[in-house]
Amino acid sequence: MTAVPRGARVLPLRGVGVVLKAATPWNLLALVMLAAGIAAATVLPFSSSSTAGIVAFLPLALMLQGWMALWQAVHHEHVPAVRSPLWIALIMLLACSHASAAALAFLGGGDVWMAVSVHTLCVAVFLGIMCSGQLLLWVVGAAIVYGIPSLADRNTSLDPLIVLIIGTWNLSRAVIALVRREEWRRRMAMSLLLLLHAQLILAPAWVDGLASDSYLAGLWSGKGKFLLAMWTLGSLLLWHSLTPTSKEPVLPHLGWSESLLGFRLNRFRARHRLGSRPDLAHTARSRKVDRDMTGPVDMVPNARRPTVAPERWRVALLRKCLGPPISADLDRGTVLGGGILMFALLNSAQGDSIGSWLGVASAFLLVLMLRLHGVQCAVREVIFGEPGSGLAEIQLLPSWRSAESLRRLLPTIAVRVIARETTYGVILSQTVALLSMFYWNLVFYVEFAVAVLSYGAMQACLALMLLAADPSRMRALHSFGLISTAYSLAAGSVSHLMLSHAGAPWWWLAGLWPLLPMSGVVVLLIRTRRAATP
Amino acid sequence: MKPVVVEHAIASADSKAPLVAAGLTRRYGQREVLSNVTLRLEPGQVLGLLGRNGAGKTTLIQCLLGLCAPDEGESWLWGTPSLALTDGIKQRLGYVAQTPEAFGWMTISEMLDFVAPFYPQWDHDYVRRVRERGGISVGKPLAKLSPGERQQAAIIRALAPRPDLLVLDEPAAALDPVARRALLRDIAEHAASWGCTVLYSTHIVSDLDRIASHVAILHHGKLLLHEELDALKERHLRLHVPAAIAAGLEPSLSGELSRHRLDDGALRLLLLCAPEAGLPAALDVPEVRRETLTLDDLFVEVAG
Repeated sequence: MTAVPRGARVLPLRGVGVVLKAATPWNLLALVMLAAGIAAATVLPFSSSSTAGIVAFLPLALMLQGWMALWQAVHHEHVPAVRSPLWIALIMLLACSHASAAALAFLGGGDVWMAVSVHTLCVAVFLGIMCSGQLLLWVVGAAIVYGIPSLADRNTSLDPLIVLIIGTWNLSRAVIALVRREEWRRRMAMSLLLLLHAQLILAPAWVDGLASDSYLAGLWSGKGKFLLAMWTLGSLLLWHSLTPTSKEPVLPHLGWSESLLGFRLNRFRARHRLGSRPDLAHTARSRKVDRDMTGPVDMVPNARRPTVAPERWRVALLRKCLGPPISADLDRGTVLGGGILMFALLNSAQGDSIGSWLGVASAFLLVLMLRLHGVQCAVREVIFGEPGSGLAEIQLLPSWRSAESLRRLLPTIAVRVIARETTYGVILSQTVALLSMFYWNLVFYVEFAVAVLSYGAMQACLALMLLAADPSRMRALHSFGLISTAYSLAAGSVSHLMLSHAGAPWWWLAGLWPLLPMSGVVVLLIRTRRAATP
Repeated sequence: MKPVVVEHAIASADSKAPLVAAGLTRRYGQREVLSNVTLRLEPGQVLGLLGRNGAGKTTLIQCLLGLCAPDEGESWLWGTPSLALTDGIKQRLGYVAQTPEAFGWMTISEMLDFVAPFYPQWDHDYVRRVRERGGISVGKPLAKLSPGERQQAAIIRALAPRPDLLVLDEPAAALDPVARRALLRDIAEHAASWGCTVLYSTHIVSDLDRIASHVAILHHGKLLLHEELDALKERHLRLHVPAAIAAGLEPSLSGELSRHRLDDGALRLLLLCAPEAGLPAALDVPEVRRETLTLDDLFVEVAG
């Protein structure tokens, strides 16, 4: 007997089909839009490098989404086709399309700002992939990607818009995190997401409109119409991807959508079982179930949460310190949103040395808080599995809080911390470095590049130590940490060289940025595949 | 249905009894989930804890093991309060949660390797045998296994330490029939080979018929029955009383547990009576049809 609800449409997708379903539409669309971008760049009159950059970035943004969908497909191991040669071919196709788009942006722009924009985009791509589609980081990356061309033209009117978008999103995420127990609120979140998506894509047109004292004129220009059409298409696709096509989570892109919203709907469903699925609950209640068989009736949940006994104060304290998942969402949103907002506010005092230093201090504070958050998340994941669960089983293990137990858990915790911290470290250092470069001078950038180098070196040492200590634990996450480290090192050094020698004959090497995250992802996939092979 | 009087041994802290609970009461807000539950397991007993969904089985087990504090009452494992279990006690305890979720990032091998050193009596042969039996993906992290596979992994983890007390909270809920048979066989073997005491919570009555020596029925947080399985079946009788005889019956009979009047005026009675005592004279006539209850019938009668 299966527990498939009546009316549920279980799609007969298997193997390669799942991969294609997950990744191909996005990337095909990206390729089409890339062609459109080339055509637009040829036909439409562009007044600045920023517009050319915008046209090039749109397909790249969609490619990012394709990458993310693909990553999710592998990450959640819905995809048995990971082992097939077609999978590798698909990866190579995506990599080539990505590289060609980046080259277009680089060669089309032909100046240092374009190179920086490409660089930033690749950071966003990298982070988007590595963070498994966490929207917050994607939004930050996208905001920078869309914002940099205008910033490069010293049009700072986009700056508060970026802050507004990120702040609004964070606020909405916090609200949603609190009230996400109902389906209609999920829909509301989707709408909000679409709105913000639109804001992001339309922002450049808005800025151009502001530059010509007419928003509508900017919107209705040839470029604006193109952007609007792309936004509509992108929104429709986004909406499609966010709308579950089946009652069962058989499609990888559904998992990606859930991650995109930060919902982790599968876990939410697992936590609430049938309670969040009235159709299935109804089915379970109405169906006559053979008591000797495993049937839906057995799955009726006990929604009550156990309360930790007062005597187990250490466990209770630990759990309280680690916090429930909602607070984690709030933490992350508040910290990052608040940090960026504070940073932007302090930036308003351009040229003011005190303001600059305060900005740097706030950025470092942000780094510190996120590092703590990374440790918190890693410890919670490792010890409790999903937050709030597994505690009872672990509590009854003898000596689970002993030094021996912790010693044996430490490598895994450390690896996760490295993975998280490196990711956050990369995005923060890159973000801060770019902002400081635009607002202050290259000195700050160099300092951050040095910081990134140090950070990367430290992570590399730790990762290698762990690898030597316990190779069996070095699965995909370890590659993740090492790749992040390598990228971090390269990002710091090459960025520094590129900006220090802008105009030199060899600075076009910066255009090779995409190869780094791409190669990292390919390596990661291969490692994951090996790890998944019994 | 009339309230059922439960006779059971007086519970008190006793270092020999693997599990004792006295007057456990637990409330969630205003709702009383457990109501004055008193229970005692003797060494070697296999107690099947029956109850409908939401009857309070999981809460009772959590209170018994000290995973949640009761509002009233207390419980002990081998004389040690459940809320202050020592590592020594935990080493003698095996527990399978209703939905095992711990160590989701480890594979089964990694999890077993991690857990094994904590138990001095870890049965490596048993683990090897079970793994050779197959049916579980050993290369995947636990979080990515099916619920049934996770349940099997948790069962291996609980049985491998050769526990003196095995507590299983609906362990068969996610298992297929083959795996369930294997589980029951493993439990029976463990109980037989070194006298492991078992508390087996379920609502699948047929499982208990195979392995349980005693049965307890929990209903709306109250322990309605706690008795040896064979005696339970012998002592409970269902009588179909024709309307003519039913009309002359007393409103309440000695040992009467439930009384259902049918449309034609006939009665269906559930009686608790000692085999040697016999039926009341009014019912000891050929027209009254007697029926021995199965555990399934009894559960439906008591908790239905």
